[in-house]
Amino acid sequence: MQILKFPALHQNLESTRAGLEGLRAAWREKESLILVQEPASVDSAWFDRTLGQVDAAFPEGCFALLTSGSTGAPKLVVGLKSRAEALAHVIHEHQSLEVVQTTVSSLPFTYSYCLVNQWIWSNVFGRPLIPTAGLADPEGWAETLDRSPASMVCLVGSQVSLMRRYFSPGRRFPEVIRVNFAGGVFPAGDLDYLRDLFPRADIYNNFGCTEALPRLTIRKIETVEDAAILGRPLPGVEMHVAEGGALHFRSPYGALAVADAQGLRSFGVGEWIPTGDVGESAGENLWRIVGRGNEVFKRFGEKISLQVIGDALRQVWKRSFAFYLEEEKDGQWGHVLVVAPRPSEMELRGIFGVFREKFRRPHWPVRIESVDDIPFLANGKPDAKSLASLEGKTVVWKQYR
Amino acid sequence: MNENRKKLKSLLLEVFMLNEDEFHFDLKKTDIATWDSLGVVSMAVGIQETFGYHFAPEQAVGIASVSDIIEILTEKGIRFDE
Repeated sequence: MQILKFPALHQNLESTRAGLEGLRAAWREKESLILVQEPASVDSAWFDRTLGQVDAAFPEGCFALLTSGSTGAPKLVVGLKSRAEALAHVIHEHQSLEVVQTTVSSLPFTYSYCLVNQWIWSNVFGRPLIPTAGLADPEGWAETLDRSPASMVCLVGSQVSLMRRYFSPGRRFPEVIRVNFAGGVFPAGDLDYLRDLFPRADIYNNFGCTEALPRLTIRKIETVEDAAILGRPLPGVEMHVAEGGALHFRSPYGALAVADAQGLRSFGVGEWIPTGDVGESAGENLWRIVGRGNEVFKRFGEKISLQVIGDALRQVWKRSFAFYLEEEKDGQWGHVLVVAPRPSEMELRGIFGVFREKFRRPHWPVRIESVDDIPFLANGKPDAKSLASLEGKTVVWKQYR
Repeated sequence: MNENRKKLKSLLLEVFMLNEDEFHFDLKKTDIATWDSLGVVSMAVGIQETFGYHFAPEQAVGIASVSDIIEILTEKGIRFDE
């Protein structure tokens, strides 16, 4: 199995370009390959053992990604090259990508979303992929967007607050004609801003998960209401809500196996696989996401969804925020809201207003903390794991308990 | 404003997520939508942390206004005079 190493986005663009050349060559080979982002903060004994197992089980025609997933815990996902290419065709058709001439990266290639929606698509359809350091270098990213004709970008919702911070009002990227969001909640509250920033773009909400590698639904977003419900499953994909609200899928494009701390596990033919999200039906073959499996929990007997709280919060707080869970003295779990930067008194009142008007007290956070910057994982999602122990936090509000 | 009044006001603003302009010392439980059962617990814990007085659960539930809180705390020797 060939191991291809990619530097963190902001570190060395030349190495990324070289990595992409290596990937292009390795993809053509029969031998399986694995993409690893450096520095890979994984236990080397686990990695070597897992790699040996994957190599023995899937020696040809496969690719594997070492990902941090949405939790920060390392996970190795194994897919079939031919399946990923088939999915690129489906995405191409669903988003009418024939008119797209270039694609500009803003996320690591070890992230299945960026790999499939951008690199594999560009490889299959022969369109240039222009790597950037993403929003780690906002000026470079913006310049690339300005000079890349009829381009497509793939973003995650948490990057919108960074764009608001870096780009002054009136800044526009008219060359971008397709904007994708995935990897979490679609930033519905920012839709007007996004329309202004990308005035010629069609904007899409893409739902999936690492095990789906990665796409299950695609929905074009015209109005805020569109964002609340996922698009219908892609051709061949099936979804259903299992007991407890867990959203499961079966997909002809999905992963063959996944390896984590528990070991390597292959998916059986026709096996229903959890997406990691909690969902509910929103009509025939339509689904609404209630939250990540680890973002929906019971508190004082009420079902708390951090996604629902976050959606409401976005109406008044346009900058960064994230949650982490904390066990309280009585053994119950509560959520801590972390905002960045520190809110003014007026802004804090706006946040209070959301909780008072929309949520009963069990849904209120245990605390509201502020930091200068929310730490993010390489895939652009808030690093919930490190939030709890982050230094320099200020408690701006707390519940007496 | 008396220091203890300031402390109580600040505490109740926080516990019930009230805006400053909504607060006055004649507020009743029925005026505050967020004065629910969990809010009572939170208020009792906050008063203990701020004034060192521990409400018995039944006493906390029986409080019907900000004036009631002041009255109980005054009886314990905490001054709220202007």
